[in-house]
Amino acid sequence: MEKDILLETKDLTTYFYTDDGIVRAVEGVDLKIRVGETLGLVGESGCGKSVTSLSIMRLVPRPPGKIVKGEVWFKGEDLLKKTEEEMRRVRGSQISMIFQEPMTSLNPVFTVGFQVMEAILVHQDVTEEEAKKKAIEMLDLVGIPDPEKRFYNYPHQMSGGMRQRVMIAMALSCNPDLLISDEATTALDVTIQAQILELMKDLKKKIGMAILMITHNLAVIAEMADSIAVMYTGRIVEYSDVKTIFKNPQHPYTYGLLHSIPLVTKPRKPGERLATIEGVVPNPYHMPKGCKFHPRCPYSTKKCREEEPPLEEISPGHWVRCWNYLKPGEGV
Amino acid sequence: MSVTETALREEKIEVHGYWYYVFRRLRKHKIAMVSLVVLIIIILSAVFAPYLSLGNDPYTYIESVPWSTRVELAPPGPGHPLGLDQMGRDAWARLLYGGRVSLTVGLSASILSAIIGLILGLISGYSGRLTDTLIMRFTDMMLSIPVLPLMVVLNAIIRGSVFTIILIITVFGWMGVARLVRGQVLSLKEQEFIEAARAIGASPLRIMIRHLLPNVMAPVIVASTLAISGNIIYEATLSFLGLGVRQPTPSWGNMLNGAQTFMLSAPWLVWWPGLAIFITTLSFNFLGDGLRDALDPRLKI
Amino acid sequence: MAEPLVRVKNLKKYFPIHGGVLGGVIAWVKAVDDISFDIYEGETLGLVGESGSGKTTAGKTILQLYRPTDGEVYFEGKLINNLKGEELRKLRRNMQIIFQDPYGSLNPRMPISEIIGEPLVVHRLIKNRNEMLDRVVEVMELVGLRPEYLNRYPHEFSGGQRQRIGIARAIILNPKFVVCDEPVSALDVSIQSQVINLLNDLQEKLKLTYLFIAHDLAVIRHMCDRVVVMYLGKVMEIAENQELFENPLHPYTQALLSAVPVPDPEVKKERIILKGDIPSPINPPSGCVFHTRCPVAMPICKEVKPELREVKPGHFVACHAVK
Repeated sequence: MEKDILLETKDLTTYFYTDDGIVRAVEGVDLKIRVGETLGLVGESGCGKSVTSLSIMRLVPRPPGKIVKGEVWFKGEDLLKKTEEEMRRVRGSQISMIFQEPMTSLNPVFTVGFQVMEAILVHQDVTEEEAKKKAIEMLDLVGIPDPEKRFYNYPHQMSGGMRQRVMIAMALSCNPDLLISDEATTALDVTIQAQILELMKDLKKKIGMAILMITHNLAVIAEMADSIAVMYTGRIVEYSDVKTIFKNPQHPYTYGLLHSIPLVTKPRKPGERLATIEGVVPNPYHMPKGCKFHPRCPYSTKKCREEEPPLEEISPGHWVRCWNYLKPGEGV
Repeated sequence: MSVTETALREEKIEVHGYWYYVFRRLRKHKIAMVSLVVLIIIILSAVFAPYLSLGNDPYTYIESVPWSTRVELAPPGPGHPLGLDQMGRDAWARLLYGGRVSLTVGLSASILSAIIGLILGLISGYSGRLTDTLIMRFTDMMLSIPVLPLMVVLNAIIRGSVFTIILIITVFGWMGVARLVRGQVLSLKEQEFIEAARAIGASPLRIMIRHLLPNVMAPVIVASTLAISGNIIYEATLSFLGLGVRQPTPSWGNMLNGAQTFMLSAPWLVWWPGLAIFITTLSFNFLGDGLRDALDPRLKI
Repeated sequence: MAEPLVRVKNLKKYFPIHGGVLGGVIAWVKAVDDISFDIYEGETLGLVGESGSGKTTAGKTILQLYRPTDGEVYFEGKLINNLKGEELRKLRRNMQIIFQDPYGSLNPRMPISEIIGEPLVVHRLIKNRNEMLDRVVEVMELVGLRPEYLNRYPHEFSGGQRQRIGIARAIILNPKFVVCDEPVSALDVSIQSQVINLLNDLQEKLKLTYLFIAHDLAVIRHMCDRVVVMYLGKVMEIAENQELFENPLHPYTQALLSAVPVPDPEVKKERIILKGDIPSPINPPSGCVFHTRCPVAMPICKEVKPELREVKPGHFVACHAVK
């Protein structure tokens, strides 16, 4: 059943104008997130995934950044056309964001309870008493034990996992429709990460919110996402539902990525080498002509070197940006 | 690393060293660049004082001038663009030669303080708690000595000269740099590349010179540049109070001292040295600000 | 079994916390609290744990970058914790370390020729600069760096290349033993596999022995012959690779393995979710340090510290619940 589309970006393009040249951080990105869906945005550092989310939230530092063109449709309105005042009402209440480093995202001189309260007071017309009650409820919802007492804790008195929960509490306090999680679990220990991921899945079921999950960790995305967009040098190179991406990747980059990671489930064969993607991400000031991945691609042809492929729907719901993708169902 | 900084990867087509980027950033700081030009002019005029003084020197008592009945405090005229001072000496020549003194004091004291401060700061920051505590308490002690009263006492005993002034300012001026360097070293000490140097087996001396020193230079350069202006004013103050450079050697400070009494009758004798001090110190300050922005390690990754 | 290359016995490393009016010691961070294991020549021993486990401190203490608070470290049969000065420096030729952070572990003001060549200079193994540069280029090619980059500075390189520079520096003296402290954690996914392959190649070519410290269990599984699991400064379990991953006996190891996400959307994980947070190493729990979060904790776990026992050949566990 076709659910409603909550967020849709069309040709979103963001550049950074620096002394050394122009960095085309996000180039023509089209994303779609449906109500209650989790979209995973996957890529390595420099691929533009964070900048994409900042562009959606209109938080790109300008200068040197600038959203050059595109549209961001959220609940029927183009966010890029809103005033800063209107955006402030959207941020935190309709779209919330959580980041990687909870220590620097939380203000060290205020208690955590106060900060959750503040998030509520800014967006909702309630009394301080009511906000405090709601804040304690939120702390409880995210699994913080003794929330009435912990309300008065300062960030430095809490562990990384706890702080991340506080961040989630702040982000969810106004029942947003969309949560953007930018590498929120990357800095956490494995056992803590597991707790947070379970929490997010749980909340998603309870509240029914959509999540834009940004990460470079393919395992996390396999667990959390319904659909996946793979980014490389600012462009989406493959886009489909999670099963298709993992079972039938068509872009050589996606394929290379999936096959180069060691698996905790795979027995060791001494001396066995990991598959690798040769080379490195290109210098953003000197991007290659044609397909941006071709210098590292084992299948590149003359056409790849000269013309950049468009993002094509090669089978229903499966988009690939490659001249040499395989026929659906074929293995490499 | 920020998004923009993720840009620096392999295949950098242009290879540039550290200082290239520093100067490029400095060039953008318009005020600093203007100050740099002004300072170069001032320094050159001090260096080439003999050639610019229109045949005068700061010590000769002029016999007479055609446009004034008295030689003392004669107003400006041909050949003497700033007139004559209260003893009948050419004020322009004295200004130029006075610049030599003020700049020499300012620069030397600054450099010497920096050297002493660097050495003590490095040792203090890198050594164990005992050495660190000893050096820091010594620094505190030096900081609490009241210099001006001390100078008054010393003045009775020692004849003030450019050399002694530089010595005094240095002896009481290294503490700021020492503390600054120590602070930097304390934080750098925890960086992994210092641990790496120890893992290789490098001696503490080698670590201090090859690894710590190059990385603390930036704030020291900034602090020293700003200190130059402080030192020039310090010298001017001391000379003004009669504690510094003695007559007949001119310095901007003692020129002000001499001209005090004649502020109303010959105001230009106060203006020019005062203006010289003001412009020079202002320029060093702006340059220091510009250097601070240009040398900021965050921009360098 | 042959003599181990490195033997760690009851090693402890506590860090003092100063405070109070006179700056005395008010508490200790018990980063490493009585660990023992052996590392055999030619093997890769994995050291895995989460934050606060003490794995990085253990690696650095074994290398004498931190002086042990207690316990012994033997290298090639000789006690090394009491070595000082010139003797310690000679030892460093045989024991090296690769750091985690490719950005902080290189001096930003030194060209890489000097960074990589510094060990040669410090140990006075070369007669002149040309000799040093030759050797540096040799090693650069071994790790996959182009010789043209000799005079460049660290900030001109990507993370993966900087890590290669760090590796080159570690191996230029031809050490016997290398501690790899999370060498790939800070790298992008597609670069990680390159560096992992490089480390394996070098181990074969240069006959290296690795102590491989990591928190990523997938990498550990791929790289290591045997694995040591640490928690809050103590050893929980030691076993051969296959044995540990297929038959983990310690409840912590079991929880750890179940917590690792798997890049396969069709795998539905039955997770053991540990409650609570990792306690602070300043005030570790009594008895078994894991008892506060252990799903099978018994009353004895709060009172008595479990011994590390060999319950199967080559498989050691420190747990009261394991027979």
